Amino acid sequence: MEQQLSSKMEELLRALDQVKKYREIAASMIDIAIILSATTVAVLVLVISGNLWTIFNGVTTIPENHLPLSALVGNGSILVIIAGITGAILRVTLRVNAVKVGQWKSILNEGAPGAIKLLAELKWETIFKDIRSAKLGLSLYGFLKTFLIWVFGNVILFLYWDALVKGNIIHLSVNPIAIMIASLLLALALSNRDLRKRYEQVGHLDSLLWELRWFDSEFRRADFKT
Amino acid sequence: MNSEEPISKPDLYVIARVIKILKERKKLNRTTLATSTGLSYDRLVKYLAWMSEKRLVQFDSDDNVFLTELGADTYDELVKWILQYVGKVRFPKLT
Amino acid sequence: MKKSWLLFTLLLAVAILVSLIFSFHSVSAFADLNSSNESAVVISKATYVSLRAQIYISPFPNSTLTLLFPDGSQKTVTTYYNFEVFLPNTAEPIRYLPTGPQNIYISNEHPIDAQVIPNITNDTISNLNGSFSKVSVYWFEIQGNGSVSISVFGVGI
Repeated sequence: MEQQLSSKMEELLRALDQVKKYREIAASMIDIAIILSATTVAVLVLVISGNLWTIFNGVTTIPENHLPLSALVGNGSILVIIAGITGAILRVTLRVNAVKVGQWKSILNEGAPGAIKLLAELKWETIFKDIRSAKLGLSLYGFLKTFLIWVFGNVILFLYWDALVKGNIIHLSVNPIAIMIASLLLALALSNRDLRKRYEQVGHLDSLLWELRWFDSEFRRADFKT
Repeated sequence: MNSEEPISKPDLYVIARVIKILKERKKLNRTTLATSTGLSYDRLVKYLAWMSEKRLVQFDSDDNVFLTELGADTYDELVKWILQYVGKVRFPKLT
Repeated sequence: MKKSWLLFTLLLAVAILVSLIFSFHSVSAFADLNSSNESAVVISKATYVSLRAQIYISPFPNSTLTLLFPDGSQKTVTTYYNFEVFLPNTAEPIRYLPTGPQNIYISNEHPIDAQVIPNITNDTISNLNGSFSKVSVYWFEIQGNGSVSISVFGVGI
């Protein structure tokens, strides 16, 4: 029975550790927003500078239809975007990995006394708040990933279409609506699995919240009598 | 303050630890019990006074401490009681 | 709190830059010329726009194209030829609704235009030679067999 209790407590504490990591994703959202905003500013400055240069200084053409400035701006923008997205993902990963977990293991090794101590030390309101933050964080993260793929798709399609027009390879002006729709379809197709995973995770957290609320309320009211 | 004066609000964790050690080692003197449970001697004495009053532990003629039947049963009941609640919680698979 | 301010500043910068992006316009035109009649390459813009146009002339095999400019000069093209034209901003700072020559539609939402008008008549030429309200027009006649392609980029700031 003592082994059973330890096992059940381990399940609970592992779940709470996972909640801590998810909550860290929510806390990282502002960092991600800053990194992505800075990336957007960098790309816009690059594109605007390139366009201004093209208009005021002319376009240097080398063997037919080659426009090195467009390629520079296009490839530069793509590199900046890749760097920005990589930076954002790295930031989240580093913060999540820095979360201290498993600190309860040595106490739980004591058996039932350890379980009692750990149960007594749980701060339920903080746990419930963490679960709510975790749900929000996971949802935002899922949508953000899809949004980033959409933005990246828009930029790539726009830059290459623009380069083809400037290079006189195609004669259709850039159509922003067509680009946005094509990128959205691509983004939804690529992030479909990830979005489903996030949906399931949020559902699991909901279940955990309900279970723990029940446990907290029942355990508080319960009266141990020998 | 008399070091043998019982405590008013016992820590369930400490009581559980003392009972667990005594279950494993059957009989111990106070000093060894304090070392095994990681408690200070004075604190252990207070807890033993409380536990003795509740008939969870007894002392023999050599002043060694041992667990009573009530003490052993109480521990098992405590584990069972906690498991009654913790055992009902279903944990979803979080990845 | 500091992070919030930084984010706010960056978002403001994004908003400003995005509105600047919308000041850029591009348009292109393409035509195959295959008749003895003259056509006109017309590039027009609102005066508050700075514009650069790239014009590519490509005669068909064993053909020539002749470019006739309003100042009387002309150029005969027997092989692939391209050149650029820069039309600067000549307007006062305040924007207004421009009106251009007939059949050339310039507005604040579409302040640049490029066309190859086929089979031009004397009326067309006198229209193009006219004066317009707040619109600049660059044009030349072209005659022969070949293709013309125009790419125009402008910014209205």
